[in-house]
Amino acid sequence: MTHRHQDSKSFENPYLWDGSGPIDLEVAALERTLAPLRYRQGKKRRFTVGVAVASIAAMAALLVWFPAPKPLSDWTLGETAQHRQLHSGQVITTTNEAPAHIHSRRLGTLTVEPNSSLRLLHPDGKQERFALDYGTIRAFIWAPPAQFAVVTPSATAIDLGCVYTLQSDIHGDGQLAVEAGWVALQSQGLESFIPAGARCRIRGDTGPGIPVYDDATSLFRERFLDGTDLADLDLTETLRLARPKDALSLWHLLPRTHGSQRAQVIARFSDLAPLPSSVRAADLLQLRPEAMDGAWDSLQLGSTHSWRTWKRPWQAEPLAPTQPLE
Amino acid sequence: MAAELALSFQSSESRAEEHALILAAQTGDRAAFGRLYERYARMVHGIALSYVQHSDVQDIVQDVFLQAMERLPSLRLPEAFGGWLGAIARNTALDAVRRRRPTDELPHQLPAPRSSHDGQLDAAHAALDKIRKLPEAYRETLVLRLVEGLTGPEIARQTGLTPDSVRVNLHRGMKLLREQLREWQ
Repeated sequence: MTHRHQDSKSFENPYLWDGSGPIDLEVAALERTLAPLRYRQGKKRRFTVGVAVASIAAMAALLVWFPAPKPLSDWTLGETAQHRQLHSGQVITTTNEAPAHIHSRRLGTLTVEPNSSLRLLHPDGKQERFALDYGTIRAFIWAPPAQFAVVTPSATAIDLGCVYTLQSDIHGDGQLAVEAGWVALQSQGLESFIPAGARCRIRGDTGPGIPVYDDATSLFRERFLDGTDLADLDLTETLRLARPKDALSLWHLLPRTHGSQRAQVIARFSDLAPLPSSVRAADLLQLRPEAMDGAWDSLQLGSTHSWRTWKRPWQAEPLAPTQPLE
Repeated sequence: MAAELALSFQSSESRAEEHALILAAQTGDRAAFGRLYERYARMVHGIALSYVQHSDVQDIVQDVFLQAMERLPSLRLPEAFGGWLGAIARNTALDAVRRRRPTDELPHQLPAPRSSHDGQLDAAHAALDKIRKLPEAYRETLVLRLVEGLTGPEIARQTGLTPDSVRVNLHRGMKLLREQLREWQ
């Protein structure tokens, strides 16, 4: 009876219910005490060097360098009371102790893993850009395709709607693994398109490599992920190991091979992913954009809307093989 | 009465807008998914904070929304979104607790230079520890109310619980918490 009475009485506590009515001092004290743990996002305020210095002192695992006052961005660092709005040119360097989290209500969230350095660059038109100087980031991006990019020393990762992990050392050697959506890697006229469940090596000297699915045979995967030069690749054996799904990797081999080797790739590709009648092998041999598109369509990778939306503006540009096998 | 009607109208309008966002997100509209992230991040953060250390919460929030994005097309009823997302958050947080070995546990008070902010964080963690000792239903509802600052009606709307359930959880949980705080002091 007493219990029911107490419940009934406490039901009349409008402050606990929705913050209205007379202040319940105990509840208000708890709210105040617990406030530093509250989720925070995108709070707009001026950023001063004084605040920055305090921030550095408070976050032992994190160093933030301020070259000069710049316009504030949509990105904020941290998610508690310590969160700070970033400006272009700002560098976030994590030690081996803890990751850092960066958030934009408009674009997505980034985790800067320990031992990493990430720089916020000036936007390029509508495209928000970071530079990963070294280390690892995990990105969860909901911005429209191609509006978020991460530049590494060897390639630029352009988000086409996805979740991915990008790792690079200071020389640009690293790897991109995609969990959801798509990422495009672009450098020196070469492009690689990496769908969910695939990964791609990047190299400081040659840029984006060949994407491979995680469920490909280990022998097939190793050929493209272990850092071996494509010039040293046993092409015949590699093509033999490819499953129909691995035609994705073979499509990316086309601009990276020449002459008879490219013809060999085309023959195996068309075995695994029959080409539509509109695509002629001779056009594919010359990497004509419409033939490359037709071959891509034969991969049947589901909706390529995002990819095509982004691809169309540079479709007319010639593909430039920079690492021939011959 | 007029105010109640206005509130009710606003609430149903908001629900319709949210259903539209969920349906759009299910067909791959990422801007819509971003809006849902904004609306529900506090709830996910609060549920995760009910189980795991504060330093791990942001990773869990990210994981939860990643899972949600992947599984969203299979959600049949848009009105179940909040409860569905809350269940993902709870399971993800509990998985993280199970995975964490005892040797990984770090004390809240690391030997480091002290500042007034450290003191505030220590007090916050101590209060949160008291809430975490409450039964699960009370714990989550109180964290959402006292830490995340959601009102009772907002908690009900986001978690899919009935307003009466939220009211009971809040008041019974608060009663137990008051008793614990008195013993503590």
